[in-house]
Amino acid sequence: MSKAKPFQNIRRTIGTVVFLLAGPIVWALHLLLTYGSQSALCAFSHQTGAEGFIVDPVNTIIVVTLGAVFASLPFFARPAGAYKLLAGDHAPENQWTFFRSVSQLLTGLSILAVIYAGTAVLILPTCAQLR
Amino acid sequence: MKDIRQQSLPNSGPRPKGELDELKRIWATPRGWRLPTAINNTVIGTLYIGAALLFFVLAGILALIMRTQLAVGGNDLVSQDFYNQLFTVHGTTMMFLFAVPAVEALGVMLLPQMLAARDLPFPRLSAFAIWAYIIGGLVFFSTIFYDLAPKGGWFMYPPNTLSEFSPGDNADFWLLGIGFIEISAIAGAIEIIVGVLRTRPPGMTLARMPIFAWAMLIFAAMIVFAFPAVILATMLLEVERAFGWPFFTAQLGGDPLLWQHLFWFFGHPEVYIIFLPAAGLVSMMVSTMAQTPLVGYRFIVVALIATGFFSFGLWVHHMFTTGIPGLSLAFFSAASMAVAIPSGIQIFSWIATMASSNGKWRITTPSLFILGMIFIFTIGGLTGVMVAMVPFDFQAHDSYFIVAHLHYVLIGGMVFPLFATFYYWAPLVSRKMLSERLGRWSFWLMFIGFNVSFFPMHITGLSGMPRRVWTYPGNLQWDTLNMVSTIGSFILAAGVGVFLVDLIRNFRFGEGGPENPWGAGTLEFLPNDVYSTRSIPHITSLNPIWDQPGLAREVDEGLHYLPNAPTGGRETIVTSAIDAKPQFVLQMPGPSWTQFLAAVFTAAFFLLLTIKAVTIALICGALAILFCLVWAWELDKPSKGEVNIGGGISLPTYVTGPLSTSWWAVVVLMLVAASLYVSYFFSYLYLWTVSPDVWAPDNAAGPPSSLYPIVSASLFGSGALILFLAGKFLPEINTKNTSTSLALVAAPLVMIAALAVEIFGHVQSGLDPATSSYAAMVYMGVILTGQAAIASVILCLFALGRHVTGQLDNYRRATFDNARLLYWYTVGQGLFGLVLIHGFPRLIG
Repeated sequence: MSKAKPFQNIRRTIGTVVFLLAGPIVWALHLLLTYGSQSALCAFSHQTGAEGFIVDPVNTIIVVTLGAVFASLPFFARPAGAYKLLAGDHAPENQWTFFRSVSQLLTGLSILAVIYAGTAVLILPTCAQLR
Repeated sequence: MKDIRQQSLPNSGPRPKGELDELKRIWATPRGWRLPTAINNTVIGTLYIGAALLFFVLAGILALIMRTQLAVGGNDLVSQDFYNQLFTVHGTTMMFLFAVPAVEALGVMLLPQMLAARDLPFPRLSAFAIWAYIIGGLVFFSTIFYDLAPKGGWFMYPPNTLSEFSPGDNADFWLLGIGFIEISAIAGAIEIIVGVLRTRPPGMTLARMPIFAWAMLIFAAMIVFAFPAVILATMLLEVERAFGWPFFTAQLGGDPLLWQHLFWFFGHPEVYIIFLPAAGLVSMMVSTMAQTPLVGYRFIVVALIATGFFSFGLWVHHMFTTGIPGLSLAFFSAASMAVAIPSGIQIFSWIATMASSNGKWRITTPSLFILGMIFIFTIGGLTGVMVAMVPFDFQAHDSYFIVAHLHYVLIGGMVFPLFATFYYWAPLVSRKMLSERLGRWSFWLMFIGFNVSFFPMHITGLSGMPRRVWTYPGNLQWDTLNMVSTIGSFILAAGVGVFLVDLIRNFRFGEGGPENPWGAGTLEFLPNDVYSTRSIPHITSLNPIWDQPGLAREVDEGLHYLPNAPTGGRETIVTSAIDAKPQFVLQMPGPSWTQFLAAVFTAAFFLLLTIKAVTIALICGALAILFCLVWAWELDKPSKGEVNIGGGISLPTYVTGPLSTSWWAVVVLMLVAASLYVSYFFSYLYLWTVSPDVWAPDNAAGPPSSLYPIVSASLFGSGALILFLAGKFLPEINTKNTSTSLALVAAPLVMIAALAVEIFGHVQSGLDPATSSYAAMVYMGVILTGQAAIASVILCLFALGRHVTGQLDNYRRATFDNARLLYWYTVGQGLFGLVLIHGFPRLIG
């Protein structure tokens, strides 16, 4: 067995895992960025009194939410291309239907969750407590 | 790969005489006083489940005492202090000593059979985890008898658990005991991840994996990412209790809410860590009981993965009333409702499977428990959506409504499926089936008792009764509801009692039970013995026994892969993670005292530290490491050349790097370490946002001169380079060279020096860890990298020992490759830490 092959296998394994989990990964990043940026920017504004487009959590959250939705789209529109890009190879024929449908369903669920969380910023005050 | 059914079978029969006897001899279970050395999955898996069941019964008895105390208002059956110990030990035992171990035990016991592997790849690691858990768990539970039990609830919130408010050793037993049991759970998770991904039978692609294997894979991955958060939390709290480093003391820049973030980042996924494997078991049983393939296999896989992920976005829903901004709460409220979708998918899939069975659905004890589970868990899920609504949670928080909700979720989601499992899979390890008649009695008593006990608690809670109260005045109209709940709890206990009677009467450990009594389609019901299946089948579908006629006979006659023991020892086939193509034959270890003694001394180390017997604890710690090294010494066996497993396939018996299972285990270990460090990174930034007033450079001794981190980073880099070069110049097979020995001595020394320089710099600048949360965090970063460094140093020295004794060269190099991988990870973490500790204060200054 050549030396390069184990590392090709590892890329394919990792690529497949990332392809399957792409939607939830984007969702996790979205939660991290929205919650993290909102907490940090609220603390920063509170401590320094700073104002403006960049330190307003509303803008950050809207940008991050739109970014998350767009980042997920290739897994819907071009799943085969996304797989090849990540795994460096075509998916095995006998598993492709499974891979594609799992990835697309997970991405769909994740987009729903991203939009669900992201739209809250249009309704609620950004830094105040609810009571 | 061409369908095996279109070809001849991999091996021909009849098999040579003596082949089966050799397999039996090699895989024989030690008897008598050597039983603790056993590592066969059926033996240790049964022991594991037995221990978990014991803890379930013990914690249940504590619950009965609590329910008796609460039966009427103003009762004084137990004291307030003892009641606090009761609910703390009940919750802790149920979550840490019963629920997680029970599902991990099922993984250890069922997965090898379900995957037709001879065993999981690290059987001694499983055995270590089990013995550590049993010893640690028994000592922890026994504290309730000596007034030494913790009193802070299973969540142990500071400041209540800081030394000022919880003096004595009680809280330490929780912190060190449970922290240590979590390590045992992580060991099990590593075994399960590598086992599921690498020891599947040929042909069992990801798309053909049993649902339970998917569930266990996700379960184990969740442990890897969730448990480190609570391990860090327990470290921080124990360090604060022991040395006064103020992570949670508000006056010095700490914050008790940090504990809640870390605890619930673990604690909420924990619920799904428990539920997902149980859901996987239900999926397997529903299909069998309906005698039809599971409806929506892909949807269930999607639901398991989505639940696993979303569960990490729910932790703040335990903190809705802590004053976090409303918008933050909305993010977690949204995730809390989103997670209901995948849970619902599974329930609809089960119902659809039952409905599509065309009348074949059988009402048996397992199916009764499954139907009970669906009813109870659905109610728990619905009340879960209610408490995910922030305004409702404000009202229901810390009331008996929550007690009702969590028991509906946990008992419905985990305990009922577990009892179904006992009845369904008992024939795998018992010569006799459990009784259907007693099983039905057990189910109905448990089902009625559970609902009588817990349904009224919804009303008790909405009527205003707070949870965790020792007693209540008798004039608040809670008496009747509480009395009903107490009666229900005893009916529930009677149901468990009937099950125990059934176990005593009918469970007889050993092979030779009825074969496939339920007519299942999955591999664990193939003919089994101590060596698992006689030969390892080639899989072409999701339900091989249903879809491959004659498979059981073929496997039992040794006509599939590896019907013998070509290396002369324990072994199994390792396949590729995605396609399940055979890659090599893994030589596995046999029974040994080493993992048992390592577990005993590891438990002793942690428990003796709890009672401050430091010297003897350190001796035990050293002995634990020694026995781990002796155990590991026997693992890296030399190649036996290529062996023929049948079907014209010859496989190597030695591999290293990404092909080897040990390399994968190190990668998973690195993920654990990285999760721990990410939790630390979060904690550092969190405490800064809470208390920037104690942060350097303005308000504390600033970071030392840049020279220190530069020197430290250079040393880290040098160590990494030394091992990189050493890897290029390993000696030829069966030879030694001085440069390898020197490299394996130099690399650890350089790493120790890098850490020493870092510590020295902070000491020189006058930073005292007890003065502020900032200072405490700085030193904590060094401690975390230090513990990774200790592991790296030990592995490097271990590799040196292997080289000096002629067991490490440029072919037999798995030990070196694994040590180097962990070393490089430690260097990466160390460099990141330097940037954070020295860069961040300069950035904000």
